[in-house]
Amino acid sequence: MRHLLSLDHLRYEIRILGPLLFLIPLALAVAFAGMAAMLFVGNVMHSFIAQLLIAALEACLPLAIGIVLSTVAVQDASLELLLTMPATYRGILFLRFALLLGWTLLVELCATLVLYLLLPWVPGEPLLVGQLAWLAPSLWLAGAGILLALLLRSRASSGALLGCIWLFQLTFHGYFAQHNWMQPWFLFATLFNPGAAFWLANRLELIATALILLVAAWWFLRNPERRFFGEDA
Amino acid sequence: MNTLSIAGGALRYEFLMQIRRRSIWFVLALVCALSGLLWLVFTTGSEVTSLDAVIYLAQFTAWFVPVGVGLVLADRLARDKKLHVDEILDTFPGSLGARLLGKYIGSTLATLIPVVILYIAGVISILARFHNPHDLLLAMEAFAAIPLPGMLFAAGFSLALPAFLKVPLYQILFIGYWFWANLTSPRFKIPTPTGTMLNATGPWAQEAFFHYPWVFLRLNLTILQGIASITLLVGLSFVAIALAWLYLRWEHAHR
Repeated sequence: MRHLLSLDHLRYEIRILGPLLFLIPLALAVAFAGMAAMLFVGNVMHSFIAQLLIAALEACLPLAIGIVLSTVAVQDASLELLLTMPATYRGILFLRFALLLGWTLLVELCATLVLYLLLPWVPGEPLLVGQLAWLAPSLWLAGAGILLALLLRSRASSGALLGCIWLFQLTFHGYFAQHNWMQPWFLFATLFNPGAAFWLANRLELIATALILLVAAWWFLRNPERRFFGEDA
Repeated sequence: MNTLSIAGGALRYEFLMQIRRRSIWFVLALVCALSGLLWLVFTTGSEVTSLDAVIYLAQFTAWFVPVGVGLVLADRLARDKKLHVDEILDTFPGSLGARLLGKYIGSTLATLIPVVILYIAGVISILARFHNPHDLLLAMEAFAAIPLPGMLFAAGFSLALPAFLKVPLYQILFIGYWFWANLTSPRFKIPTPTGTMLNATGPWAQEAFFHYPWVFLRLNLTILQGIASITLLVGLSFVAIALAWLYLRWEHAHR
């Protein structure tokens, strides 16, 4: 484990993952900031600009990390070689997940801090609790993306399912907010129901289920030879 | 070897490869189940007519299922490249364009099979509830006019654009595009093609052929405009395939 966390190793893992996967969340954040700036210049209502920026943090960046991680979970050109190494395969894979997820969370954190500093009318929650707005959906979609890709053994199928869940929740958000049994699964409570009584419970439930999904992915990889099978093997 | 036989051979093999992918059956069954759940919620009342039930079935299929159909096809070209199958196929006498066309038609047809089966299950439940045999024909027409063009559109772009873009980037952009271009309500005051012929969830065909307004759009269309919308969506999918062909040909020439 100590070997996995050495700076040299981290540097190589970042090179293996490639710059594109790290650029996606950054590019999305910059694109939404640019769009918000244009709307700001065009004198569009502040409430709409706030919704757009919250949608970027709560919906778009989490979807991006979910799809990126589902790709990483089942794509490895040197799988056979990695299984011969003394380091465990799931340790290496989870290190890659941690690098990409950590980077996306850092982008989201910086973006949120900029919002609190420059546009304090955008976030509706206090600074510390407000971080749950993006943390909960990011962890949930990351966990779901990884587990689905491993179970379905296909990044395309995992991305398709994540995309449909995302669109379904965004389009029928009212149903998720209205029904008690659907609230724990509602990813966009900050965007559509910011002051709702269930908001904090929803965030904590999403984080709890995300951790369960990640533990399930860790457990699934206890037998890494399962990765030899599937469409992307 | 003529172009038609190459396209036919590619179609056959792509169809067989795609239909054997278990994950596709699983994903499309789940997406259809989500749409079916919505359909049940909207059609359980006693005042619901058989026309409502049929149109809602086609409409909810058109909202989400094309995303599933498109995204499961997004890795086809990337996979050929990764496994170096494209290089082997390039040594054969067949043309790239015919192979690409066969790949598009074959893999799309195979991906549509689970959707058609689940759509038929919905139609059977409508027949059992309303006992009106005309609903069968209506449901077939509604499938061909409302969700099918959108699925062909999504499949064409999902097969073609990963020739230019990495698969995860394409998937993220496509999901965002689908919401922005098809499902964005006018409540969000941003420019969107939701009200235009480019809406791939079928509002133009629905109103033109069935005189049934689509959620928040009132378009007052003629049948010709409905046909134009379908032609545009299906035509654009072939344009996307043609662009991918031109790009891949250029790439091969500069390899």
